[in-house]
Amino acid sequence: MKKLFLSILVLGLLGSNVGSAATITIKDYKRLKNTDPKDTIIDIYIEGALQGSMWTNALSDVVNEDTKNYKKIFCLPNKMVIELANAKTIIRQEIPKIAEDLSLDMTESDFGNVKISEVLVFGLKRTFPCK
Amino acid sequence: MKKLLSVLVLGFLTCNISFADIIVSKYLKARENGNKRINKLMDTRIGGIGVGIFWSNASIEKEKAMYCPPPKMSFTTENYINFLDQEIEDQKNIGILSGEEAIGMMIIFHMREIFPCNKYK
Repeated sequence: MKKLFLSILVLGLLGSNVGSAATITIKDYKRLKNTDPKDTIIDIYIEGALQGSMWTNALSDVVNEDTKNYKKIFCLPNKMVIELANAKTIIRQEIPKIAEDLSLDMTESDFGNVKISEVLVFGLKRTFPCK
Repeated sequence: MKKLLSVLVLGFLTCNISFADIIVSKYLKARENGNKRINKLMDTRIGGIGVGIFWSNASIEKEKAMYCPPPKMSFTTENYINFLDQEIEDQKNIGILSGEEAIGMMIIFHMREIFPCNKYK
């Protein structure tokens, strides 16, 4: 998990703006939490990132149904409804875990530049692993 | 097109998609309205969807990815808006747009179309 996370993280950090549409980082997330008390922008953004992740997970499963050894990105329990509040909880819980996982490999500044959408995807993978 | 339709139907039938999604008809209505604030919030949402798609796709093994952009290619919110608008236009032109499609799904369809992976060529 750590190896995969690191390789994707390197893509995110070295590739600078790869996948960076209006990218919100951990640093931005913490700042916005203080300046936007109603969380309007951050909520809309996270809900979007959740939608994008859910659709990619679902459609990749359909597209790869005949592919050997294909593993979904994450596996929600049957009939589970995942909402914005769940996504925010996952992000909140994932940030310290990532900090712990990567404490030896990254500086604090690098850590602040990790994208919040990346945090969400890894949180979904960790919270709902596929067996 | 046959592949697109089958993915579409399978997607609707098998996906466990049950969250606050924005559908095409609502998106078009919001755009028609021309309200600056609504447009900005819609842009933020699409930017979020785009990065969600990007990082999820990045976490899939390469040969099983949903789309394969050129290395180091970066996407802006405007790119994702264009992907969505173009997909809406394309589906409208071939007469399969119902307006009930989720905008996240439409963006992925368009990215698969313009950045196919080798296995789809």
